[in-house]
Amino acid sequence: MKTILIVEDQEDVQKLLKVALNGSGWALLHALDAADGLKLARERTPDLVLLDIMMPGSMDGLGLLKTLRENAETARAKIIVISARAQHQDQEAAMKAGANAYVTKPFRLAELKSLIEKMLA
Amino acid sequence: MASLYRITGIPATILDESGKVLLKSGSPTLCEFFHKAAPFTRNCFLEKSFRRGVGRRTTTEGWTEFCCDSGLIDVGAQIMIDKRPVATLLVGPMLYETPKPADFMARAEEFGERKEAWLQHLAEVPVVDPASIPEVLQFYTSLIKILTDYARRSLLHNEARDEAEHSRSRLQDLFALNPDGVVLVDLHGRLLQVNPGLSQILGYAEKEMLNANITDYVSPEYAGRVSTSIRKVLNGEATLFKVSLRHQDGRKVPVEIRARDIMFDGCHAILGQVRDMSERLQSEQALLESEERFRGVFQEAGIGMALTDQDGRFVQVNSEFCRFLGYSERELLQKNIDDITHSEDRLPGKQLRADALAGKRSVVSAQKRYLHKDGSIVWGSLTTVYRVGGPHSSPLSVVMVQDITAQKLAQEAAQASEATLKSILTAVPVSVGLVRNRVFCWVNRWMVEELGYAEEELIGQNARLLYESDEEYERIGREKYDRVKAGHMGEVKTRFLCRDGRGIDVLVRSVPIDPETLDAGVIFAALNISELQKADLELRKALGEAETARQQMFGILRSVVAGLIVIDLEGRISMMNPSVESLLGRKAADMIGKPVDQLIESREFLGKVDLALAGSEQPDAVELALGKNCLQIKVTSVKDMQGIVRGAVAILRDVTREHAINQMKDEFISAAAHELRTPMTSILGYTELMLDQLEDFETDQLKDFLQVVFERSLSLSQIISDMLDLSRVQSGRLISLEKSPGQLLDLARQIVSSYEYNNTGCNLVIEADDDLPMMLFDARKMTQVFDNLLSNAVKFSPQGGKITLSLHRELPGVTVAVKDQGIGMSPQQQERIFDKFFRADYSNTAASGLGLGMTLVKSIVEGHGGKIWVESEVGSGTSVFFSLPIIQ
Repeated sequence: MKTILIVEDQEDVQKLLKVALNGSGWALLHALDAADGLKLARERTPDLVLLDIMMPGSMDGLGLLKTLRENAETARAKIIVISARAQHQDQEAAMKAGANAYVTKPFRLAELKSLIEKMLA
Repeated sequence: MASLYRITGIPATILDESGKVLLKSGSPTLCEFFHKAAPFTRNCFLEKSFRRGVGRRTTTEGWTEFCCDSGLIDVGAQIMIDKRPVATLLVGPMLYETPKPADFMARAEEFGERKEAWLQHLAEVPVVDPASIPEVLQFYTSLIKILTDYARRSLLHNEARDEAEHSRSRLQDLFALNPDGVVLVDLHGRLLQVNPGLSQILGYAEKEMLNANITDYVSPEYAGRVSTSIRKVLNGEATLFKVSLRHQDGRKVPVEIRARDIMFDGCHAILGQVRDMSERLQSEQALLESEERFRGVFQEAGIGMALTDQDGRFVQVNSEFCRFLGYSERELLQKNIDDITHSEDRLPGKQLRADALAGKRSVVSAQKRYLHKDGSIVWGSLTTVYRVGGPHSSPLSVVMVQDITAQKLAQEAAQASEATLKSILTAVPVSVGLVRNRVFCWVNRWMVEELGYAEEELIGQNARLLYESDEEYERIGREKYDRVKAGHMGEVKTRFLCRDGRGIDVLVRSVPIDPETLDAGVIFAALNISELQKADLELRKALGEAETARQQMFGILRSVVAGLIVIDLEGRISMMNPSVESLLGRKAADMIGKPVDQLIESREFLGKVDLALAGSEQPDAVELALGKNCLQIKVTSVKDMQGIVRGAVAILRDVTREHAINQMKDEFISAAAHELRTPMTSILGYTELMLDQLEDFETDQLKDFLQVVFERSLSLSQIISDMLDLSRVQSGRLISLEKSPGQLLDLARQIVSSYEYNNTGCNLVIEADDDLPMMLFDARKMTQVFDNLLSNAVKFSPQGGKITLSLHRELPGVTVAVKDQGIGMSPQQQERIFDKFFRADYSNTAASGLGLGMTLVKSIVEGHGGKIWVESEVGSGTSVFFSLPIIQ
């Protein structure tokens, strides 16, 4: 069973993703900030990480992305960045840091699901 | 002298004081006839001895005209030398009218003369035009002047002779009364007796001569004549012969000897009366000499002289005449007077000759042109004396010519230059004229045109005509003529009245023609300075306007906000305004005249300056970072009206703030997108979820989902409302308020309770005075104010930090403060806290927000008539205060 880690500070979006992805045959983990996310990623080595960029605390989404890629245990995970930042340079920065895909908010749940399925296939 | 008579046709005589004839031309025979009855002497002409009844005597200018009863006329004058009379000149006899022979015949009969001889003499008397008499006399005057020298010597001679006569009179006491020499010789010529007279003649003493032979005293060439004469006497003939004796001193003494035979002591002897002829011969000699002298005068006179015959041919010419015409004497004697006369002057000459032949004129003075041998024209001033009524063969005229070519040429040149000058004066665009005693004698055309008077209206008029008043006329007279008299150029300013009454201002300059006397007239030039003065005035005005415009332009350039650098063609700074000083921190005084690269070193900028000075348009601005500031510089060419590049202008604008705003705008767009996308994510996500799997969720779950959608929709609505408020503020309008009375403290408590509920991490405290007044405010907007201030305080405060919300009564209303113990703000951050899109920390991407919060807060507070301010220190926290007035 594939494991998906959701790192999202906004609770309603966190809850939305959990509800939408539940029942698709994936194990779901969730963190409300980057530090939590990193901890879970190290412990559970998820197959895929859904990662928000703008998050409170000392580390934002981009920082976490870089850390995950630097860490051997987590380096292989597929990472989909989900961000409200729609500008090109933000997307470029994320891809450069090692993201596998970049999804801008607001997004269609169906599209996100099929992207996750493709990544985990 | 005979030829002189031949020339003039009028007899003339010059007598010395003793009555002796010095010069004589022509014969006064007729007079002698007359004066047998009324003896004529030269003394007739001298006032003291003039006897009335002999004729009419008229004295004019030193000349005495004596008109005899017979109609014969003599003119005479005394010649004075050193105020002493030395000689008398007599011209005549002559007649002024053709004589009537009948009258004269009667006289002839009266004197018992023969008619034939009488008429012959009458015919010799010339008929002369009285008008020509002065000229004839003038002619003689010149002769007399030449003879002055002789006359002077003659005077001395007379004195000596007087002395001799005196001694002879003494001798007469001693010798026989006979003044002649008397000698008695025998048949062999031996001197038997001599008287003192002979002794006198021969210079030997009487005793010496006794017994000497007569031949010893006779010049050898006359020896034969003496012996012949002796023989004749012995033959009983009385004889008179002339011989020359030898004076004791060796000179020859001409004598006339009258000899006859007498008996002396019983023997035949011959008595000879010896008359010394020296004196008489001397007189004759003097006459000859005077002829010679005339020849000399003719030849050597400095004046050209020529004699011509009736056909105008030259009979005699002198050397000066030859020199004058360039011909030799021989050549001239082949020529006719017309040959050497200019064609235009021939006719008058012919006419005069014809007149002279007809007896009309005898003396003519004229100037005429002669043809020189070299072909040039020479001018002569001539006096021609025509002989009237003389024999056909004798010369008709004597011409006396003075060469006046040089004088004539000078005169012609003067006339030409005068004509040139006059045409210049006529043409010059200045009024020019000549006044004598302030009366116009001549004015040029310009003056006539400028003043509107006709020339004849000015000429002869007094200059007073042109002046406005007598005072002005007199003033000009005084000032101008004082200077002119002092030998300077007179210069005065005055006003001339034109004919139409218009006045023109003029500058009048005057110079006398002759500095010695103003009688010759004064030349003036009057320059119309009205136009000049007008032009001067206009020029001053234009200069004033130009100066004002320059000052205005300079003022504008100095006061424009943008920095302005004016660069000349050499790339030097010719001007920079105070804005440049403050932007670049350099003083204009230090930089003017320096190359512009000493002010701004940017290569890009200097490249633009070079292009602009080359005339190329430079639409793109250069941006320069100078420390924290950012400058935008635009360089343009400065061109004159003709499009010629005169320099360049650099316009500097401080775009630091614009840059910051642009950055903030970018941030805003990204933040706005983020803020909008976040609620949209929930709205879109939950609605999609519900639409796809509505049956999978229970009612409570669905209600939760819809609650999220509702709240996020509210957030969206608020964001949009904020943006609208902001655009309203930005466009200068006040934020729209819906005010209602209420307690600010109540509102504060509601908000704090909601925060306490939402953010447990902070320690939020309210401090308030008890007696806070009721206020009039827009509760919704004021909630926004509290929300913003509190959320900022929470955002920048550490976990558990104390946040104090205080409300105090402070006149004239209530002051509210939100104090935190957060990270604080730098002074720069405090300065910009109310700017749009400002966010305290860009690097902290987590601290989301549009950056419009504080801008809106300020607008809302000010919309309520209140004030807002910040106190903060980095690391110690921030306090935001606002005060609201109580509005009745």
